[in-house]
Amino acid sequence: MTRSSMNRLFAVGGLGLAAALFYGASSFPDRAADAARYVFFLAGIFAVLSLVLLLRKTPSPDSHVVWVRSPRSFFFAVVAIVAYGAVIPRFGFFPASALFMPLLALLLGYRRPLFIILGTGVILSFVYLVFVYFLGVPAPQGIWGE
Amino acid sequence: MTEFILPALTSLLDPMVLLVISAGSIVGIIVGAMPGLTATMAVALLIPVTFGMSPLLGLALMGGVYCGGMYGGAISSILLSTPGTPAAAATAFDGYPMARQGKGGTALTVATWASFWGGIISTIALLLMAPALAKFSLRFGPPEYFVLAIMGLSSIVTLTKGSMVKGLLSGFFGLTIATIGMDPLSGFMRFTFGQIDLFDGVPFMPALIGLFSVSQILDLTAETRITENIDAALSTIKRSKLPKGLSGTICRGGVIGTIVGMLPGAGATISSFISYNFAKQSAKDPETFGKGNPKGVAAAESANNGCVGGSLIPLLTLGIPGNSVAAALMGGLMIQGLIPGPELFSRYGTLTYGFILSLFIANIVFLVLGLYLAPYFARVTSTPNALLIPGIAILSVIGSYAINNNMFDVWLMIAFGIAGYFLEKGGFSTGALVLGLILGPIAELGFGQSLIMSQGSPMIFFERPLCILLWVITLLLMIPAFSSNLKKTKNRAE
Repeated sequence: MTRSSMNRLFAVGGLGLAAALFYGASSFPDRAADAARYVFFLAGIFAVLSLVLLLRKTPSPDSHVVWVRSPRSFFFAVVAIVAYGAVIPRFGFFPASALFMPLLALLLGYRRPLFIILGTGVILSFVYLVFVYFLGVPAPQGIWGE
Repeated sequence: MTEFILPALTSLLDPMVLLVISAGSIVGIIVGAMPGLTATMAVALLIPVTFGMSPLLGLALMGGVYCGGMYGGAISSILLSTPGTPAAAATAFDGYPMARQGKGGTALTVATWASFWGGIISTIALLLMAPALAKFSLRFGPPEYFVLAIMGLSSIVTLTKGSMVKGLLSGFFGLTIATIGMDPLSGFMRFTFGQIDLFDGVPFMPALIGLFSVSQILDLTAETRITENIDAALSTIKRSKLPKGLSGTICRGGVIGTIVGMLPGAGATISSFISYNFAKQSAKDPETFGKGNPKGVAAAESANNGCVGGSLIPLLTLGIPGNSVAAALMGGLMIQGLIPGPELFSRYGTLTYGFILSLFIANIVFLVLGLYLAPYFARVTSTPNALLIPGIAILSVIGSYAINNNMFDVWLMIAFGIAGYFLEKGGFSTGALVLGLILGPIAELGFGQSLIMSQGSPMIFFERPLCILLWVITLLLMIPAFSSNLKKTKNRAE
């Protein structure tokens, strides 16, 4: 995707958001008239700025946008983080983290098991000491806490 | 002020304070030395840790990270020509040539002492100026607070790298996200889509951690490790004394850093470049700059650490963060229930002065650590990204969960992280977005109350003398952005 088409895409998104804000604020009840006026103000500025972005010239030569420099690693990282978030309520925070850290390190191409185990141990010990022991945060326990 | 100084000093005698400042400084130096990781990220990740601490310990910890992080950037800048933080970019101009000439130790010594004195000068300015500005802010009413929010927003976004329009869009996007939840005046629920977790608004901390931490680790996936050639760089280090004739440059840099740091949005990067150019222009031997002149290192480093105290002046007095680290620090204040403004210097005087005085200690701590341990901190930069990325992700998850013990916040953090990554790639500013989130409630309350006062007339924002003054300052702050945009257009036309 070129920089100019990206700018157009963001500008159209901005105009869409401004329209949605305007539409949303129009349905506010009378008692929230001031809140509606504030949202109208934001929607107006958003629309103007998006129009400026849409209409202004992109400096030539138009360059390509590099969204992701290493697609494979990026994909693994995003999927692993989302999956990690999804399994925490089921398996509990510590077991999920003990799985997540080595798995993502391996997926990112790291092949030194001793350092992976050490790194996982250090991070989880730190989290346990600071958050669970000192701050009393009830980390999710999943099926183990039922 | 004097009635708070003694109790504040007494509160600092607690050994725990020294311990947390030292821990904060060490974390700050390590994070600052690692290109790709920022002090903002470290402060954002540490805020949940400070939640269960006493307010003074929490603030002292974050102050230590801020001071240490600003200094730590110099280490990789000098040894690897890879600035750990953008603010240390100017340090590399002379620091790296010095390291190449076998004077890496001297360059680190100069950077450490210059950062120390820059920090001390700015903390003195903070101590003396903040109470007066806080008293002045008592004259502010709702219209002034609304214009102040616009001033903070427009100035910071116009000075972000790249497009001014995108900077402004980012800031107003932050203001828009801040409208989610209950309207502060009528109690009406807006844009929550029935999601109970959004009734109190978008929680600030998950957004902050996502935008500053997760988006950054996603960017790190492109590299296997932050730095490769650390061993060769470390071989240039020998412990050295501070060269003579640098005191004038360091003092000037500290003052420049403090003044520039006070301007919302200007920040450490700009101040270090201004100070570097000033030192070069006023030197008898400007041709030696860029080839390993210690004055170049001293000018840049004293200015970027000078920004620490400077950026805290508008934060503590008006609630306007001077830069993104100060914005993250504001999250730390809010989590302790502390609202910036005159109350911080009266009702919470002992705590606020304790925090300011703790910055002196933080400067001393990083001076000692820097002089004796800088090469060891540099070694940390060789940690593989494959371990850093999941490690930081785990801390981000538990950090965002810990505030409300709620998994919804974790999902919000992940969503902000992924969105922040793509927004950054698209040239938008996550710093401006966070600022919009912070300033949103101030702006909205000021806007609504002002219109009630004026029975709906928007002229209230242009009639009051203080409002006019704030509009003038806003316009003045926008001049550099407009002029650089005009220059770019002119250059393109040629």
